[in-house]
Amino acid sequence: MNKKGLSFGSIVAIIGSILIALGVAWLIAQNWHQMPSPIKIIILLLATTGTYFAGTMLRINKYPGIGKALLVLGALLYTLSIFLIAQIFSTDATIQGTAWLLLIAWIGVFILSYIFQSSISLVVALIEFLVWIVIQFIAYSEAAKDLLSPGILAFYFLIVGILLYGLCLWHRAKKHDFAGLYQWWTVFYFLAFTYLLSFQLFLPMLWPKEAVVTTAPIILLFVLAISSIIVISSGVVLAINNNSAQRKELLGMMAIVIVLIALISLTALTSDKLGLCSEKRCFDNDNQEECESASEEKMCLWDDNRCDELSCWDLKEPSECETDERISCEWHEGRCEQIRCFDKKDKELCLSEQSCMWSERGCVKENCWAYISQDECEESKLSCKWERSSCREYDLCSDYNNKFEACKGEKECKWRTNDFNFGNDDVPIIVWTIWIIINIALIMIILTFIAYGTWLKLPKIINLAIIFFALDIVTRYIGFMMDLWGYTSLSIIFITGGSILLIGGWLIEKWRRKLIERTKQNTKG
Amino acid sequence: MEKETDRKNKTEYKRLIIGILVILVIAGGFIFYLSWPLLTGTTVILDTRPVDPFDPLRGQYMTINYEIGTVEFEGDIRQGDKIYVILKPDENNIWRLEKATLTKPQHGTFIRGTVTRVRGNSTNIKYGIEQFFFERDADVPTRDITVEAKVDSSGKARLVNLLQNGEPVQIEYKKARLTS
Repeated sequence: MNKKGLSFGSIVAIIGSILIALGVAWLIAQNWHQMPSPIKIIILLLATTGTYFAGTMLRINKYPGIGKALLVLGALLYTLSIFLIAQIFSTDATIQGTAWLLLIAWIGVFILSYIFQSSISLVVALIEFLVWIVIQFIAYSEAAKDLLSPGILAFYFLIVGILLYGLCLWHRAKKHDFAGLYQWWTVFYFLAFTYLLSFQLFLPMLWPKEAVVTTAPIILLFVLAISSIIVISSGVVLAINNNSAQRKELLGMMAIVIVLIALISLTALTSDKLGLCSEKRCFDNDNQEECESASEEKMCLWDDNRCDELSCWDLKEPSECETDERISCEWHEGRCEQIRCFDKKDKELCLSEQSCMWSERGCVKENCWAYISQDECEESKLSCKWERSSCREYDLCSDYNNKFEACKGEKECKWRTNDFNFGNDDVPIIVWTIWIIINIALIMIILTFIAYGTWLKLPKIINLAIIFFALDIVTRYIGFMMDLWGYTSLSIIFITGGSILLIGGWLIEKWRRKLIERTKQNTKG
Repeated sequence: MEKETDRKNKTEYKRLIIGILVILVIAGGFIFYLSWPLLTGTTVILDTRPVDPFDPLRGQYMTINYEIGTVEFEGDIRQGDKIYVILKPDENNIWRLEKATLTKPQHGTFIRGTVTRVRGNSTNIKYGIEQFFFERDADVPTRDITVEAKVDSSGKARLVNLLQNGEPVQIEYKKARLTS
């Protein structure tokens, strides 16, 4: 094979060209703000089209590697150009505005990847597509000014997986170069999706009770669903007609999709099982009636269409500032401020203020942390609780953690679906059960894809599935470590877990090599 | 062999031409859509509430709050609704709220916005021109600012310039360095 090498002169010339390009880029950057908008746009378009031009020329002139890299650069420059053009016109900088830009970006990169037959550009397009879906969902949440069920996002992702598989079947039937890429991405996608679903902390978050459903995300769900049904149906028909995929494979994928639909739906059973119950603050009251009926201790005031806590700054006269019994304030330099306990160096003076207390650090604002003995802590007029050798603020509503109905029944309490709950001993059985089911499903799906890769003699698929297998083991190990923390010594956890990982890692590697070897032998045979 | 190479090269050239056309069509269409109010719209000067200088993570822009960003509206209105604010210039040529309506007016100069929050009769509205982008290391004045914008016949607005005391703001840029 004739391989063109680069002469010394060519290398020097290339370095020179790169330096010129850098110099021009620096000149443009320095003077960007002075350039009129049309010039900026022309520069952006020239840079993008110029990169594609260079990439194509290099491919023609037998530098496919560099040519490929430039085509990807072109795709990225196209995306950046869309955003920079939007900046030039000072368009909407909200999340919805960003979502629109990403939509234009991924559609363009997707089309260009097919025109230029660039598989890496297609990967860029797929990533941008996934980012767009997430950003669009967040935009819907922002527009609703309320929580949307992340379960809808989970269904978006599932539908995208079906779409990917449909595209895989299409391309395999047409013997297109992108078939392998879609196949790999479909497997990666389903594995990543199931892996994320296997985290216990996500389960109650998918269908929180307090979530709302609005029209726009449902419409997007339908559009995605219809698109994926069309693509998968036509893909299946093509695959069967061309014998590019066997019925076994199609049924296997269908089974995986059904399992995932069932798992996402099953997580709805956890929606009110795990959450934090905490005391309502004034701003949690949405209307005047609720605000004014809040307990006196909270000192909520309805003003300017919102419920705020009374503060010293609300008291405009010295007389009301110093005599208001609800709040401890003092008139200082023409305004009403909270009493500064630290300024009171004398113990008697300190104790004469309602909101101050005398501690070893002097006069401090009364708070639970200042109490150093259990008796003082439990006798204080604040809501304090002695726990783990220290006095902490005690939220009465916390008795209703993980008890949705009871929490909602308390007027002064609010429910928040738990989004981070390390070391919570009260995880309900139902959450554990569903979590175990999902993890079993994950292992089964991983094994299915290993079998799939072995059957079709695809080492890449086997490697991918085994990576997820290893990842799953490491993740569960870290999870068990966190759960066992405090119950046994750290050294035992590390030694036991580390040994399991060591042996497991060796066994997994041995198993992986055996599968790959078998695949290669079958291919040669 | 040579014919095969020629054929492949021709295909590559065709792809390049089509690809460049696609880029120009998409980008061109996008630019045309963004420019439409600037090409066909009426110029309005809008008063701003205290401008909120913001050092963002995403691009360099400042958030602008407009006087017409909060209007009193009596009627059934919800977050997400489209609202049309009819504008009228005052003696200083600052365009102020004359009336707000949920239906598109048949005449007059008006700007279209989206309701972002409703509190009693007080309605917060976004018009899509609440951000002004500028380059890094720029010193942008924030006092006595008005905004020159163009609104087209459908009420869509596009920001043209920031004005200070009626004149385009002078943005001071710090000198760029190799390490910046």
